[in-house]
Amino acid sequence: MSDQGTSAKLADAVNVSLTNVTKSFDGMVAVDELNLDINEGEFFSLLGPSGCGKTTTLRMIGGFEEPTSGSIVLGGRDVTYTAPYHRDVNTVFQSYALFPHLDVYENVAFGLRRKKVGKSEVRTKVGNILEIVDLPGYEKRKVNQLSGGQQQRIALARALVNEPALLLLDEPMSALDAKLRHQMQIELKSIQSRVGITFLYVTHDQEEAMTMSDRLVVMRQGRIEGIGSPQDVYDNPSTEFVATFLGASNLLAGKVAGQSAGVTTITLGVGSTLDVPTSRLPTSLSGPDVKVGVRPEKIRIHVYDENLATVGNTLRGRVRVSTFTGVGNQYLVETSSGDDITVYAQNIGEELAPRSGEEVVLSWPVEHTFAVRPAETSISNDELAS
Amino acid sequence: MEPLDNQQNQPDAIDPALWRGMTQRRFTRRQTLSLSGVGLASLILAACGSPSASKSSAKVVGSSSWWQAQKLNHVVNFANWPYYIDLLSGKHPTLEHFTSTTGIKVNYFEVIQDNASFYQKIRPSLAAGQYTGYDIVVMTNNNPQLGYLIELGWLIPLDQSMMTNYDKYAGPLIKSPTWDPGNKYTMAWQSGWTAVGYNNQQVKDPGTSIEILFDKKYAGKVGMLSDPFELGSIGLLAVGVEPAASTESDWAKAAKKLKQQKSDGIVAAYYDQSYIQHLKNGDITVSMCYSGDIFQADLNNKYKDLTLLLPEEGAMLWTDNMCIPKYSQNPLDAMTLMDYFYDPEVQSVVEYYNDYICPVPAAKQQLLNPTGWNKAALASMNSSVGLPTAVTADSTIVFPSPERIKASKSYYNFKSQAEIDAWNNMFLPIIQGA
Amino acid sequence: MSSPPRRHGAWRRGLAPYLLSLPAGLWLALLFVVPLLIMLSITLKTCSPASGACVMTWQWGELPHVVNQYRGQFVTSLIFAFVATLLDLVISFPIAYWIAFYGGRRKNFFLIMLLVPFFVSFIIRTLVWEFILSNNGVVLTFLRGNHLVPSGFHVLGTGLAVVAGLAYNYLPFTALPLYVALERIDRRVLNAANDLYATRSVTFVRVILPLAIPGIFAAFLLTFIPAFGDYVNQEILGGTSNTMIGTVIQNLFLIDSDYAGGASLSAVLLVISLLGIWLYARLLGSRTIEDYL
Ligand SMILES: Nc1ncnc2c1ncn2[C@@H]1O[C@H](COP(=O)(O)OP(=O)(O)OP(=O)(O)O)[C@@H](O)[C@H]1O
Ligand SMILES: [Mg+2]
Repeated sequence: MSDQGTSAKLADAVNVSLTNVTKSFDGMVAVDELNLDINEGEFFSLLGPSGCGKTTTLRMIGGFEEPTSGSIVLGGRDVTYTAPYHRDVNTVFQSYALFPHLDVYENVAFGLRRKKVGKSEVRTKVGNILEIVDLPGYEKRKVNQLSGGQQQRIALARALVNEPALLLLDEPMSALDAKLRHQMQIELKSIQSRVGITFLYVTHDQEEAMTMSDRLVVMRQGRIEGIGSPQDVYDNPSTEFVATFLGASNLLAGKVAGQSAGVTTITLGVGSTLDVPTSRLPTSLSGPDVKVGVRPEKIRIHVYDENLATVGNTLRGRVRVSTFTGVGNQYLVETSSGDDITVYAQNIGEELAPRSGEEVVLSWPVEHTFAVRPAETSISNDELAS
Repeated sequence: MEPLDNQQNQPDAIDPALWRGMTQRRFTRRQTLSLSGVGLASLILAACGSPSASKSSAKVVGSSSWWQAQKLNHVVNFANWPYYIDLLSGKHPTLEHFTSTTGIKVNYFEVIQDNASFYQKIRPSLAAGQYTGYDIVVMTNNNPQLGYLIELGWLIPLDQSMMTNYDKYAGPLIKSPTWDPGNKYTMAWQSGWTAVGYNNQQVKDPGTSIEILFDKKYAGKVGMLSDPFELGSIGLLAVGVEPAASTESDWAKAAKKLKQQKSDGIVAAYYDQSYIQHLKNGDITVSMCYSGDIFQADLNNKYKDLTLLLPEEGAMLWTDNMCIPKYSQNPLDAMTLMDYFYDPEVQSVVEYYNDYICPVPAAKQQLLNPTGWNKAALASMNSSVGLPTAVTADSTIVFPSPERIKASKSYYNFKSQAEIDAWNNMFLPIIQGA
Repeated sequence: MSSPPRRHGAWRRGLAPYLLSLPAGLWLALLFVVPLLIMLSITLKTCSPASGACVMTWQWGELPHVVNQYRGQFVTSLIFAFVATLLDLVISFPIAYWIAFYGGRRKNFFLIMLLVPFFVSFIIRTLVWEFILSNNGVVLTFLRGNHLVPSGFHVLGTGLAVVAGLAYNYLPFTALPLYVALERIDRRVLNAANDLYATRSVTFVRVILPLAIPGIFAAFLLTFIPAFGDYVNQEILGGTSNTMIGTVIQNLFLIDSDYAGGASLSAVLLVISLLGIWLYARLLGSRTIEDYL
């Protein structure tokens, strides 16, 4: 990639603020009382299962859809009912939506021409941006003669060249194979850090969202389930849905039993207890019922030994399934309370791996334990498949 | 195949020049000469009967012995023009009467819209030596197709012994006409004039001349007929030439007059049968017309304003002729029906509805004082026709007066295809103006 | 050696497409190519108007002769068909546009509404126009009654009536391809245009119109070609000096029995139509034609 664009910060980024935005189609609520603040220059992702309202949210910000209620503010300007062509926003569409009747050059130049940018300036800018997306010399090509990845980059160039204050990207990688997708992710991120504009990125690929975002939200059924930096949201999921949607989680039903010194004790079904930092308890518990969670990779697994000394939370169980995955071992452990817990142990050659049927002890530090309110509506497998 | 069989049965040998003419398009004389041999051969092939047809009857088709060998099949298929026969609540009283007295069922088809296209419909069957599906067809003498049928031997010569009514009652106007001397092949169905019709509300001083069609007063309101033979003949009358005695240079004069009429914007359009509708609509106020159309229109109170003018220069008299196409399967039944129409009682019923020129003068008395079965038939038709039978009987359009007969003009009798082409070349471009 | 069976397989694979296209090919040959060749051969034949018998005489003179003789009618047909087609484009574009973009769930209903008059026979529809445009018809009576036109004003028998009839009768041939072209424009592309600062009107001119061009051209051809050869409208609605070539061909065949002449003019008509299609294929690619036929 060329260095030409590196120094130039293309635009002044803006912040985006959605207040109580609701969108319903024929009475069906697609986006429900959404409140969202995106900082200027941020790489912000919208994450969630299919049909949760990501595209709808994006389309309202882009101006292709009017909210049923609520307001949208871009850089301090209320644009709730402003036409798309009057917003300093550009979109990279899920399907690229390149102009089939125009060549690459005219596709990229389309926005500049509408803004009445001078001819020579258009030529320089288009040339520069094609360098940035690594497609120099493609000016005269027809867009339908380009590969998917190339079309993708043209769509990106076509939006970026206008130096918008905000760039909206709707699942821009969905049609790319894994390798190209990875390459593009890196490229996008480097462009973003170079041009410094606000990116609002829609995806239902959680890994993509976590690797690229400064912050992200997880949406479900038109509502925000969790918001924060990827690590925040991952380590300390705010709801059962976020915990299950983002990465794998072990969630055990329990009841709040008592508190002491910043730690809350939760009893599981058959008398065993787990400790959770009180700060990581959900704020709005409607009763004593909670779900205690721990990520599989945070758990240590030991073959049972009467003399074993453990710190933090401890559970006993029996290995049901043990799978060797090369970089590690994955275990499915049935606890004495009847719950299944997944454990992921890295293959660092330290201990002898427990085998199926062996009695084991699971332990993890208290600070890696979290608790969430049980979901009111059950989480279907469809929602988790991404 | 016996190619000469057919030629021998032709009463008069066909002039080879005529045959040559038929095979020729608008080619130079030299081209025509080089063509004639081929054309002649092909014509004989086309005209000769199928082997089975010529072998099945040992005698020559149409000879008296041939006729004697024919038997009644008690069915006859009759092709005629629309609205051309008595009609009462969907039935034809004369045909019903015919069936009840002879036991011969009549299948009546109103399929003829114009001579040229109907001829094209039956020609392939005739050329292939097959039954056309009709035992009687009605062709007009003012178009070349009747001549083609006769010249190609595609009509069965009539059984002269079966024309008893005809011999007795056929009027002088149609008996032994120039286009079929001795009635060898045809018997008239009806005749009519091609003349002038006008709207007497809009035309106050029609005068007596054919010049009304060329009057600039009625520019854009004059209808002319799109049939080149009708158009050309009216043009000839307008330049003071007898069509029957005209020459090619007369045709040119007539064409010039008609072209002038068109370029002066006098002609609204060249119409087929639809002219009458336009006259009724008021799209045109004066038009070339067929006499019976105007008479029939007048029967309706709504169109009382339409008047027929037989100009002093004359009006073209045409005749529709019944004939029996070759390979007819029921010639004896056809012959019986054709002569039946020359019974004055029968003709009175046909004419009460039709109002064209009646081929049977004696039908007039039958209209005034019906003597047979026709009495009841005429009475029952009275309410649908709407006028007393005396109106038809006294009409000089139906039973023409001697002056009217005198003013009637005959069409030019083409002597070769070359003449037909010359005529078409003269008058078709006027109709098909760009 | 495995080469013989492989060759055999390859041979069969190579033949397969031809075998598969055999029914379609036969169909085309039997019902299109053969009649076409017969028609073309008639131009070189000499036919008897009386017997209908034709003899091959290799006379090349008929074609230039009739083309020259009926040049005027060709020009008239070209002009009428062209004007009627333009009229149809102007009339049906907004209709097709509206149905395609704003028809919503009732698109099919609107399309059927557009087509309903055309379920009636061609001749009857034209005759109704004759009735409407007649001097004592509703339209002219109204206009004259309100002194909107001079008392002598008439439409029937003029080129105007013929063009109106052509435009009316061939409207679906224009509207449907236009609809198809507009309907299949990707709405996301229009969003993209709006996103890139193109207002509605700019989007129309810069995106919708260029994308509809193949459809417009297809609509043009599909309307122009039949209108060019039409013989009904002029016969019923036309006057004395606007005969179209279709009428001439019809008369040559049915009245004049001049088959060679009729066939020659038909051949010229065919060549002109093919020229239009060839031009389309050259400019817009043959693939896109199929989409509209
Ligand atoms: N134009 C529309 N009319 C009616 N319903 C719509 C419309 N657009 C979206 N919806 C509905 O709104 C809900 C949210 O749709 P949206 O496209 O925002 O989902 P998404 O999160 O982008 O899903 P995906 O990941 O599958 O793209 C869905 O239930 C969808 O069916
Ligand atoms: Mg989406």
